[in-house]
Formats: sequence, C-alpha cells, structure tokens
Amino acid sequence: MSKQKAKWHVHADELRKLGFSQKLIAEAVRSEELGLFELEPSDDLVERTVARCAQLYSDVRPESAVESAENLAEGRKPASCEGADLSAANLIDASWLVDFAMARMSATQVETAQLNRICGPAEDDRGLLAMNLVETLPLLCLGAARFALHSKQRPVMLVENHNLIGPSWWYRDVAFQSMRVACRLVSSIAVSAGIPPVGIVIVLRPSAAEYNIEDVRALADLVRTSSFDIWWLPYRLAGSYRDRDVMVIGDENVFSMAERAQDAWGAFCNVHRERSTLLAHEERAAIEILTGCATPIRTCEHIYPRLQHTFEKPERLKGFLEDVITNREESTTHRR
Amino acid sequence: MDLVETIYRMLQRGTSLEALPYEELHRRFSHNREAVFGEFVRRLRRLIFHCAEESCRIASGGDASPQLDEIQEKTIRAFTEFHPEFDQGDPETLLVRFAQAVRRVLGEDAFSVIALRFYYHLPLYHIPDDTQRRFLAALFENGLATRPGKEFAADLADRFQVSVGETKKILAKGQKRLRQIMDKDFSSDELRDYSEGYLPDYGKDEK
Repeated sequence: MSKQKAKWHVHADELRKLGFSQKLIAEAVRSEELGLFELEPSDDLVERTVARCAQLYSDVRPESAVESAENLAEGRKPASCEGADLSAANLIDASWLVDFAMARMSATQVETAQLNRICGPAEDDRGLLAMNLVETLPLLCLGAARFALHSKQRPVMLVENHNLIGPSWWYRDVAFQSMRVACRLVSSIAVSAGIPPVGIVIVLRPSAAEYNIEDVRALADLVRTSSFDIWWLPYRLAGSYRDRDVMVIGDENVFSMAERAQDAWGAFCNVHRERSTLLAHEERAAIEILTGCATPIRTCEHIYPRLQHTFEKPERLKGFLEDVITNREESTTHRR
Repeated sequence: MDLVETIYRMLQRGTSLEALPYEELHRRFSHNREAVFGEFVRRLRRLIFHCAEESCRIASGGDASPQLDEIQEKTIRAFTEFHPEFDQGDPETLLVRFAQAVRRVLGEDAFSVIALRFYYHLPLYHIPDDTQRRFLAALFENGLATRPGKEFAADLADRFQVSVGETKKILAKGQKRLRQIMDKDFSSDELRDYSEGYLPDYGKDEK
C-alpha cells in the first residue's frame, strides 16, 4: 500500500465554463479546502473490497482482473505470474488504465466465450475468428509484458500500413481502442523496467493527397498522445512491407494482414495469425532494420524537438507528410 | 451483414459493465455478483474514500491527520456494509440505499461533503454517448479534481489519449447532455426521490 501525498486541484473556472452548477463546483472546492484530495486510495482498493466481501459473505471470489483475463485468453487456469517479475508494474500508476482496459475487454470476453459455445468450433468461420481476435489481441498485448521483462526486448512491434488500414480507426473503433490502451499499458510496464516500449513503424500512403483531414487529425492525435516509439516510412522504401501490416506480440505471435480493409471490422476479418518463435524473431529483426530507413517521429517520452510544432496544425502536418513521403525529410540513416 | 458482424457492431455500442446505469447494475447483480460489485466499487471508491477521510477527521476532532490505513479500512467497511442489501430494493434506489449505508458507517456530516457529486452518478450513466459518458464519469470519479501537476482536463486527455482541447469539447457536450437527461429523462419528482432531493441542483438562471 502506498501513501501518496499530492495536490489535486479543482479548476472552478473551467468547470463553470463547461456549465457545471455552482452548487456542484462549490462542493468540490470545499473538498479541496478540507484537504480531501491530498491522499489517494491504494491501487488495489477494489480488489481488497471485493475480497473482504468474499470473506464475509462467501459468494464473491476475488481474482486479479489482469491475470484472469490473460489466462482466459491463453486458455490457462488462473495462476500467479509464473517466473516473471512483474513488480516493475507497481512503480507506475497504472490502476486507472487497467480498470479502463479490463472494463472494455471483459464484456467482449464473456460474450465471445458464450458465442463460441453456442456456435461450436470456429476454425472455418472467418467472422468468428475475427471475433476471437478482437477479444484476444489486447489481452495478448498485456501478456507480452512478461516477454519484455524476461527478454528485455520491446513487448510489441508493429508495422502499421496506411494503405491497408485507416489512421482514424484507432479512435473510432472500440477494438482498435482496446488494442491501443493495452499497448500503452504494456509500454509503460516495459519503460518503468528500463525496456524499450512498443515500437511502431508507419508505412505511409504514396502521396500526402491520399490523406483526408480526418486522417491528418487522427495522425496528429496519435503522435501527440502516444507513449510508443514511432517512425514514419515512405511507401517506396517499405520493401516487402508495402502491402503488409504486421504485428509481433511477444516471442511467438505474429499477426499479419495483406488485404486492404473497408473498415475496422474488415481488418480483423483479414488478419492471419501464426504462432512461430522463428517467424516472430525474423519479423522483429526485419522491422528493426526498417526503422533504420524511416523518419523517427517520437520516443515514448516525447516528440522529437524539431517536430514539436509540426503536429499542432493540420496544414503543417500535411506539409511534413509530403516532405517525408518525397524524402525531403531526413531518415534515421541519412542523419547517421 | 452476417450474424457475427451484427453482434460485433452491437458490442461496439458497449454492453460492458462500465457503460451500465446503476439501475441496470442492480438488475445484473444476481447474475455476476463479483463483477458487478467490483464495478460499483470502482466507480465510487474515490468519493467514498474522501468521505471516509472526512469521517476520520471529524472523529478525531479535526486535530490529527487521518492515516491512510484507517481511511481505507473505513472505505472498505462502507462498501461491505452495503453488499448484502445491494439488490434488496428497487433498482432506482440503489444509490439512496448505499447512501444510507455510507451514513451508518461514516456519518451524516462526512456524507454531506460528497453528496451532490455522489448523486450526479445516477443521471451520468444515462448518457448514451460512450465517449461523453466515459469522460464525465472519470471526472466525477475524481471528485471533479484534476491530478497533481496537470492543467484542467490534462489528466483525462492522458487517460483517454486525446488532446486537451478535444477533452474539453467532449466534457462540454457531455455536460449539456447530462442537463438534458436530468430535464427530460427523469421527472423532477423522480430525480428528487432517487437522490434524496439533492438533484436537480440548478435553478432557472443556471439552465
């Protein structure tokens, strides 16, 4: 249990501007004046409360939400973290993220498990496989924390190809959002243990004109608010990744897509999964090489200083996209 | 659109517990007690923690700073006290019944410190737009305060990975929707009954 002294603040003026009632604001301000925002409940308060109810009423069984979900995804019985030191995760304030991610995922998890039971084996049904994927991918990402802590490698490496998926799907689609939250969480666990975060190489479209305003805004938001290492790669330099979207999770899960999807659901229908340590290793190495000829955009901590203002206005960003695509912008290799 | 895609689209609209109004949590309690009660605690833990802190302070005569362990213990007790009666009553009165349990454990004066924000949770979870509801819920979970060292809404922007400007827009829209819900989805009498008269809390000049 950690005691955290902090100064939370009620921004009364901002709340007033948003239209909150004076009474409501006054109550929050009073709490601040009483010093009630200086202590925070511990991260495990929910679990402890549910556990206490289990003791008292013996009808509620506590279980670590993350562990439970990971084990379900892997088809294992719940068990404590086997051999891996996840204590680094305690260094970060990730409780809200876990809450958020698990709340979103749990419903899909339960519903899909029900659906699978009703429909039987899913091997020959593309839709059911996609459904399973929606359920499983974020959980596998969370599970990659173990791999990262053991191997000291990035938990997840991704080649995101804008010729196959739309940048705005990360905001519009709940399955993509869950993936993103899971990647962010696993990144923060890795970084807190001194390990590189999730790495994303984005293969751009052949021309900046192919990005509409929604795409550009989504790109800007993605870059501004991510906690990943991100590179941009012009289409013509992408080699075998020109028409592929690849995600390597941990040490054996490789998800790839080679068909353009109309929407996020279509993307999940097009994904092909392979479990192969060798393939995962090869893809990781190939993606690492790609970063050498791509333009570095941000690290997990910050956007590169020279690009700080690029992502503030869509027009500026569009110009920068053009520069990267036409190679006027320096790649990593050029700068070396 | 085939069956699976239809189901996926339905899931997009969100059937997860975090999206459910309190009345619906009540109804689902008997099917999945652990998950439903966990969600209930998750939503209200910070507010009840503040209430417990005030309760400790009042109990000590306002002299000593309460200890974290003591506050947490009281917080847990408020929830555990209520657990057996979670689904013993009308779904619409879930928060009123919990408020009574909180008062029993933490006292009337301590509860009054959080009462209005506590009852705002009722209409809040009726906001149909997932994004607006999540952002406002997060703001209310934190008692309307912002995390240390952050400008207003920056903690929410971090949490949901959007810009601060976008966060403010979402909160403004969510707040408008919340008002509409209190005006149209509930009658004034209902709102008063389900919130012990704390809601609606605005006068005509504030509309």
